[in-house]
Amino acid sequence: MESVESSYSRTMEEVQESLKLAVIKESDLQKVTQILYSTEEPNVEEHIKLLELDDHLLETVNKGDSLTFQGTEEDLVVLCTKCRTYDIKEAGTSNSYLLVPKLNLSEQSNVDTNRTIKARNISGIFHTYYEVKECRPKLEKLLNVLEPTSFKGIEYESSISHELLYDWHRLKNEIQASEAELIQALNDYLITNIDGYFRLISFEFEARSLTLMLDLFEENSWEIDEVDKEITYEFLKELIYKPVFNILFTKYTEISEKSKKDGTPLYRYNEEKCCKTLAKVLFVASPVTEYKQFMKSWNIGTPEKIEPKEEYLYGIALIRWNNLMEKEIVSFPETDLPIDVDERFNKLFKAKKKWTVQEITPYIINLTTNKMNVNALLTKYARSSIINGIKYYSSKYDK
Amino acid sequence: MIVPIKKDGEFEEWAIIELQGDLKFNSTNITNVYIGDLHFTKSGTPILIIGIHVLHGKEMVLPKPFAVLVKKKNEVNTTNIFERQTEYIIKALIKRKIIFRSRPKPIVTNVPKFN
Repeated sequence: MESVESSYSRTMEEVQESLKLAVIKESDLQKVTQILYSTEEPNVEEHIKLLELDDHLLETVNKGDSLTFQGTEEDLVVLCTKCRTYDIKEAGTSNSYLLVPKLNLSEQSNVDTNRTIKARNISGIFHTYYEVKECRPKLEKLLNVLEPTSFKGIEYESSISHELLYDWHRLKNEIQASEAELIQALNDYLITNIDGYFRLISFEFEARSLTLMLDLFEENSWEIDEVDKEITYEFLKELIYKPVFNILFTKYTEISEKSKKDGTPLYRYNEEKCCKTLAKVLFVASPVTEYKQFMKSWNIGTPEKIEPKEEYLYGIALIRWNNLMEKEIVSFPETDLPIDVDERFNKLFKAKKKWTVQEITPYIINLTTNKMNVNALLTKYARSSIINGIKYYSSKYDK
Repeated sequence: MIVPIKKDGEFEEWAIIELQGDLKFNSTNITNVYIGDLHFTKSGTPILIIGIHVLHGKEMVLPKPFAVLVKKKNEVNTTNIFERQTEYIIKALIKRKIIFRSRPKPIVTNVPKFN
């Protein structure tokens, strides 16, 4: 511990006297001596925070781009740039950091004049700073706040309570995510803007609309890649707002290589997405079903030109053998799993002991960050083994 | 709630002097108290004389720079209700520090001379 005596303004003579006593030759030193004093005003450090910057943050502050602390009272604060979100942690150090404004470092002190002294008031002594770690945007809350006002169909609109609706400003204020990540999430979760408010589309409504779309597809005996968007909308417009139709149609189709005679494009249904949603409809009625029976019902519910395949269930259901050694299908949606990486892997390996990469990917893809992809996650949190030439991942802690 | 962190003109460049342990002031007035003298040798080694201690240090580039954020509270008048809005101004960047890691050498006075 260093101890400092009372206050005074240091003179050149005193500086030279100290050097003499310390047996340091003035001729060995550069010409500038900086005298350190404590803060000019009391409590300066209370208003100052030190924030550690990575390359992306440094670029952001240099450009003067948007940088914000975000969070409501019950959240842990995060730091957001335009496109990334960071967890912030207060880190402590046992050393003392004296913050010195405009301090000259060695190359700036190397001037060829007589000895000069410069007074430097520090801006406080720090033992903590904010450490940052890039994280995924906190989107769990997005679904929670939008759930009560989800769009269930035009006939239910009058029962939606107005004060629960979220416009952009309210959403931005409450969701801890950068602007780009929030916009991406709105797309990913089928959130649509109806009259200025952001609305989830309820699963029941989505499933009902898809079923109607596919009924029309069968009725007209269209080929899978000859879906007519205008006719489909005409057929549904009594039931559905245009922006809701557009977002659903975009989810379930892609532009086909074929087009109509007038040059407007035709569309192709995405078989995997259609089959997934139809399977989820079956899970609502019965979360666990014997394999053959499930596949049969699934086939019946799907248009003839679309064929359900087992791998379409990855990410929404498990195929496993029960105690009676019967093959069964169990509803197991990714969205129900914990956000915490350790807890999620625990839950996955509890539900099923061995996973192929293809099977497990949809369950962990949402945990990846710029620094950690699916393979890196599996290497860190799981153990691999090869059985009959197929690579499986299992728990690190099982025998 | 969104608390903006703003750039207000060019950043100053500040530095950190890192000391082992803590620095305590004896007086009750702790503003403008003299702490010590900082020199550099011709070869660039920083020397800090604090009380009766001489410390030899090293200049270092921080692996990750710091931004110095200064908190500001603005009174905002929204429909006659005064609301306090907090924001931070980035006052400076810190890219380098001087670290004094070695044990301080005491200045010994009144040593009898032999010759």
